[in-house]
Formats: sequence, structure tokens, C-alpha cells
Amino acid sequence: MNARTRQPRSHRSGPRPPSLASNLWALVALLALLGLTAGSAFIPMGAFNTVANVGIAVAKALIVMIIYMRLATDSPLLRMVAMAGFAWLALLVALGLADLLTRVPLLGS
Amino acid sequence: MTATDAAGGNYLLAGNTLRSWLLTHDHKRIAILYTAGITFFFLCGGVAAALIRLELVTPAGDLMSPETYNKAFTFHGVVMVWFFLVPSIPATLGNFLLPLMIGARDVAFPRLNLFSFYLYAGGGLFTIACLLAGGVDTGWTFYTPFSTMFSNTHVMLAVVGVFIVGFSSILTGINFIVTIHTLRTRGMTWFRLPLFVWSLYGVALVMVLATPVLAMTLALIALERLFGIGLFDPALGGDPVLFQHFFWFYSHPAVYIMILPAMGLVSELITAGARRRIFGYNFMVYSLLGISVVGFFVWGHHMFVAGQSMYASIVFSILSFMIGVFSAIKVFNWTASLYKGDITFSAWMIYALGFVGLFMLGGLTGIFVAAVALDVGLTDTYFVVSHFHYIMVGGSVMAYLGGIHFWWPKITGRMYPEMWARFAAILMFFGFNLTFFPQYLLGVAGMPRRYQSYAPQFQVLNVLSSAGASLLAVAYLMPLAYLLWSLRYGARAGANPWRAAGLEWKTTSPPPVRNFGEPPVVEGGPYDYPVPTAKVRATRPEPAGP
Repeated sequence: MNARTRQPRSHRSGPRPPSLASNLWALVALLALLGLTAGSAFIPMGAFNTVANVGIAVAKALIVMIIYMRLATDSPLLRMVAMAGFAWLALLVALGLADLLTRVPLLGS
Repeated sequence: MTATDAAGGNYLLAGNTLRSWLLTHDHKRIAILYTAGITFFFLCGGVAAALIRLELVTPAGDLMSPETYNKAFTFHGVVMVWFFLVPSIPATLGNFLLPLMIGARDVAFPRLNLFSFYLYAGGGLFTIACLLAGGVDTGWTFYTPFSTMFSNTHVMLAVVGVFIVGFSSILTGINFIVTIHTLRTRGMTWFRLPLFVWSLYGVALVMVLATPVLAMTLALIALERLFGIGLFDPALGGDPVLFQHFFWFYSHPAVYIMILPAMGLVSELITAGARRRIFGYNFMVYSLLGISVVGFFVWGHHMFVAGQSMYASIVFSILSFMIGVFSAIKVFNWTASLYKGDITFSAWMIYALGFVGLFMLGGLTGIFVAAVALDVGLTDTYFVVSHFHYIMVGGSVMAYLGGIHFWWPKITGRMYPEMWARFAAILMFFGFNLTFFPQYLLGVAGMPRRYQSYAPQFQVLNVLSSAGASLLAVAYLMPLAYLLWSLRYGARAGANPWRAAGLEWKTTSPPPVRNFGEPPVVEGGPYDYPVPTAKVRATRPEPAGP
């Protein structure tokens, strides 16, 4: 990009932000999913409790990313920045699990 | 009307009221507010360090109780890490110089910049409140289960203070990234950026990516401590090592938040002090970015004896050695940049050369503790204390003070007394080594850290260390005195008293409010110093005195 024409860009110059109604519906959906998470704790489903909760968490994350972070409509640069954030989170989880999954049980435990 | 007047006039005279300072959006004034803040916290942390060294003069714990000693080293650590070292170079010199170095009028988000300062001040108030309420005794790392289950000191006040100051870091990082991406002047391409700007870019990335994890970790401490939610307590289904994973995922990169800007800054000083272009500019850039990225992969080397899997420890150990490669590139290139240089021994150059030596010693001993087998024996001994002080104090603080001296004429429009400054820099180098080199020997001999009493055979080295700390204290107080003196009595500085390269030297000293009369145009690379010849050497001016 020519340095002469480079100007700071703001969200105002990008796509239209979500309306107040969209924001409120997203909030309602997030609260409903929170209720589901809490409710699932009282329903014994064995290993499927974890599956259900991870699924709900993914749905919550998608709502935040699409509506609040505007990743679906905004510039590719914003999507790249968000992806970098997730890559870093994945790094924390992966190397953390590298410890947890390879621990040798202590004798007698 | 002069160019300075057209650009808003001298920024120091742009308003004399307290309000004009406290509500300023000028990055230069905000940098000065930060300087006042970090100087205050440096003095607070220094007092705690002095008490610790005083206690350790004798083997018996005769100056303070074990609990008070725990609080003293915790306060020292919390204040020095989060309220001095992390913001030291980026928030002060970085804030002041970044727009000047890229030819911009200000940072991208001036209001956010001021807000960052107030978050910093707010976090500081919580920390001071914690001290006044009786302090905290967990160590600066807030390790669980002590911080969540057993400590009956003011853990939450300290945690909230650090939590708040973390957001200040994040906002500064965002501001720097956007500024560098969007506000570079005409012709200032990426590979014409001064290395100090590259280092601020690298550190801003680390701040933005790592600090949220610290905030999350501190919030989890609050959840377990206040509500008994089982996160780290195995009895409640938690994992005791998880806290250390989260904590060091931030806190090891935080070491690079402290040292990366110092590396960039020293590159500016060495090129100006030797009147040479930096040797291997591209490699310096890639190694800065390499440290920023690989610095995230090595946190597990803090946990070799914490119950971490030995396989994970081996991986973290190998990754930690890689950091040494990037650091070595920098040390070799700084040294090579001096070759055939027209070297001056101004105070700031003495600081820069001191930095290279001390950083090298700290870095080499870092390789010792990156090796699992050695670290098992050295963990929690004074060897580790000495290692990180060589990096953070010998490295970052020397660089910070070097930078303050180098850009003092630009910031204040006044020269500092050169001879006093050289004396302080040399005294600091000797004082530092006398304080911390004995601690390497104490560590190898097996003296553990964080005890106020110790076995009598360690006394001689401890007395030497405490004597060094006294010298160091004098050496730190001297710049405070003569720099303040120079504000009133120092000789007036010209726009470029060191004949240094860089856009910041092309504007007046002190700069005008909007930095430049006309936006500068960059037509060449950084460090555009002439090839030294006999004529240049003969005409080189001595640094101006008061």
C-alpha cells in the first residue's frame, strides 16, 4: 500500500455493524445456552455430558465471533487477527496437554 | 512563524496546568506521566530489595520475621515486574519515541493511550493498598495452592492490582501495533524501520497475545479462593500443575516483554555510539520476531520439578535452547557493529556496552537452567535469582537508563552532566556484578531462595552481595539527582547533539506538539551513518557538558 494514501481505518468505514436487535438476540441466545449448560449438569448422560457441553461452548463461541466480533462481515485482516488469537490458544492447550497426557503415574498411586 | 510554532510549539510549554498534564492526549506527555509512575514504583521496589539485602547480611533472621520477609520479597517482585519492568521501556521511551521514529504526529489512539496510563495508575493503587493493608506473602508468582487455600494475607488486593495493570499492557500493545501498521510516514517501509520500532512491534504482539491469559489465570485464582471452585485443588477435581501452565504461558513471554524493547533500544545506542550501521539488519529483525514467537513455546522450563511429565520437560528444554540462538545472533551483531566503529564512551554508550556484557552472562546461564538435568539441582536456588536479575536488571534496567540518557536532550531540551553520568554508569556496572555474581556462587553451593536465615558458610558471599547492593542503590539514585538538576541547570540541547541518525533527531529538542512541521519523507534505510574516515574522527564533537 502506498504510504501516502495510508489512512487509519475504523469500523465506521467497514460494513454496517449489527443492529441493536441483533445484539440483544445474541445476548438472549447466549443466556439460553448458559442455561442449557447449567441444566445439563443435572441430567446424567455419562460421557455425553462432556460432548454436550463442548458443543454448547462451540455454539456460544460462534455467536460471539459472528455477531459481536463481526468476523463474518468485516475485513479479512480482522479474521486473520482473530485466527492468530485462536492459534495461540491452541498452542496453550496443545503444549499443556503434552504434559497432562504423558505424565507417568507415581508408584503406588 | 517557525516550523516549531506551526507544529504547535514546544510540547512542554503547551500548557502549564495540572489539568493539561493529567488530561493530555500527547504521547510525549503521557510518556512522562508513565516515567513518573515507574520511577515511583522503582523506588518502592528498591526499598523492599534494600530490606531483603540488609536481612541477609547475617545468617540469622534478626531484622524481620519470616512472614515479613516473605511479604518484602513478594512486594519487591510484584512491583518490579508489573509496575516497573513490563511498562518501563515500552510505556515511557516507546510512547515518546514511536511516533517520532516513524514520522507520525501521535499514536493511533491517543485517548486509549491516556486510558492505559490511568489503568496502570489504578492497578498501582490496589498494590499500594495491599501493602498498606499488611501485604501479601505468596511470592510474585501467586503459586497455588498457597495463594488459593493457605495464605491469609491480602492476596486478592494484589491480584486485582495486577489484573488491572494487565489491561493497561494490552491496550498499549494494541495502540503500538495499529500505530506501526497505519501511521508510518511516506517512504518509511517495513525494512526501513529502526530496530527499536521493530522491538516495540514484537513486544506489542506478545502483550496482546499473552496478557489475556494472565488476566484469566488471576480470575481463576479468585474463583477458587473466594468460591471454592475446584480448578487447581486436586481434592476438588482440579490440577495443581495447571496453574503453573497458565501462569508461565504469560510470565515467560513477559520476560521478553521486558528484554525485547531493551534489545531494540541498545541497537539504537550502539549504532549511534559507534557511528556504524547495524551489522545484519535483517537478521536482527528476524531474531527479534523469532524471540517474540518462540518465547511462547518455552514456558514449561519453569516446571521441570513441579510434577510436569518428563517428556513434556524434554520438549520444553529443547525449545528453550532455541531461544539462545536468536539471542546469540543479537549479541554477535551488536559486537560486529562496533568493528571499525568510531566509538564514543558517552554515558549512554557505557550503559549499552554494559547491557551487552550483562545480558550475555544472564543469557548463558539461562542455557544452564534450560537443561533439565542441571535445572533439577539449581531450581529455587540463588543461581536462578541471579540469572533472571542479570537479564531483567543487568539487561533491561541498564538499557532503560542508557535510553533515558541518550534521548534526555530530545525529551527535555537539556543536556545532563556527562561526567557524573559516566561515573554512575560505571558504578552501576560494578555494583550490579558485586551484588549478583556472588549469588551465582551461592546457588551452585546450594543456598535456597526465599529464606531469611541461612547456613553460616554462605555469609561471606551474602555480605559481598549486600555491599554490592549498597553501591547499586547509590548508582541508581545518582541519575535521579543529576537528571532532575539538569532540568533547570543543564545546558540547552540542540536538535541532534549526538549527530545520530533517525527521524526523532530531525525535529527540535524538545519536539513540538505535533512532532514535525511537515511530515518527513524517508529516502533511505535506518542508521545512515557515514563510513568512518580520518576526517570524520577528527571532527567528531565531544558530548556537551552542562
